[in-house]
Amino acid sequence: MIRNKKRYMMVETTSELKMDKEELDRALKQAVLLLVGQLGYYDISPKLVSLIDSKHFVVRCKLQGYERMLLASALIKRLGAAETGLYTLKSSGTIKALMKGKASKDFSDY
Amino acid sequence: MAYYDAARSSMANARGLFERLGFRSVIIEGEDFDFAKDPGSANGKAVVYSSKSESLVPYLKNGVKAIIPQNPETLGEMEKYVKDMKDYGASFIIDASAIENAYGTYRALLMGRFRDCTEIMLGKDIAIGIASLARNEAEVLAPQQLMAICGALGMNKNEAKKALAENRSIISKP
Repeated sequence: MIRNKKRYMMVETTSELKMDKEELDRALKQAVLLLVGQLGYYDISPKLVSLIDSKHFVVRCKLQGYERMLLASALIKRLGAAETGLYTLKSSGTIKALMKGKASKDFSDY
Repeated sequence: MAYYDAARSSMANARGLFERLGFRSVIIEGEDFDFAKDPGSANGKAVVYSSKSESLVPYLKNGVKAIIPQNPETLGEMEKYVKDMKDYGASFIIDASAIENAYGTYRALLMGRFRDCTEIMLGKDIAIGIASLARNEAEVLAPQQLMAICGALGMNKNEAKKALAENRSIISKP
C-alpha cells in the first residue's frame, strides 16, 4: 500500500467548542466535505488527532491536500451547532515537532 | 518577509491577536487607513467598490490608493478600469471577508470573478494586496490561510507573500 505523507495542523477556534472528540471530528469532516466536495475530499482526508482543550485541536491531512485544507479552514464558519472561525497556529510533518518549538502557546504538556 | 493585515475599526483593540497569528502588525481603519466616502475626499484613501452603477474614474482621478471590490457585479466591472488604475497608480485589494461571508454557489461565483480579476491585474503589473478586513474575531485569518486563498485565486506562493507584505504600503495613509 502506498504510504501518504501527512501534515499536522494546530488549530484554534474563536469560540469555545462544547463537543467531544468524536462530535468535533464528524463536524470537521462534514464542513470540509461541504467546501471541497466528494471529489476533492480524498486528497485531503482530514482527521481530528487530538482535542487539546475547548479552543485548540490538532487535525491531520494529506500533504497533497494541505493547501486545500488551509483554504477550507479559512472558510469554515460553523462546526456542528457552534458558530466559530478557525485560525491555523502552526503546522508540521510530525506531531512531536508540532507540540514543540515556537508555538504561540506551549503545547508540549498535552 | 513581514506580513501585514488590514481590519475594520471594530478590531482596534485586537492588535495582539494579529501579532499572535504571525503578522508583523495590523492596519486599522480610521487609525492607519480610511475609506473614501466620495470622490472629493479620495486622495490617499481606499474605496469599497460595492455598486456597479457607481463609476470609479472620479475616485481614480482624485488619487484613490486602493480599490476593494465587494461582489461579483463590481468585480465584473473591474476590467474596464484596469488602464486607469495603471495610469493613476491605484492598487487592487482582495477582501477575504467578502469570500468568508459568502456561501454556496455565490461564493463559487465570487471566487471565480476574483480569480479572473487577479489574472488581469497580474498581467498588467498592478499591485495586489489581500486583507481580511475583519469586523470581528471570527473573520480574522492567519497569514497561511490568506496565502491559501491567494493560491485558490490563481496566485503562486511568491505573489501571495508579496500581496501580504505589500498591504501596508498599499493601504496605509501616506
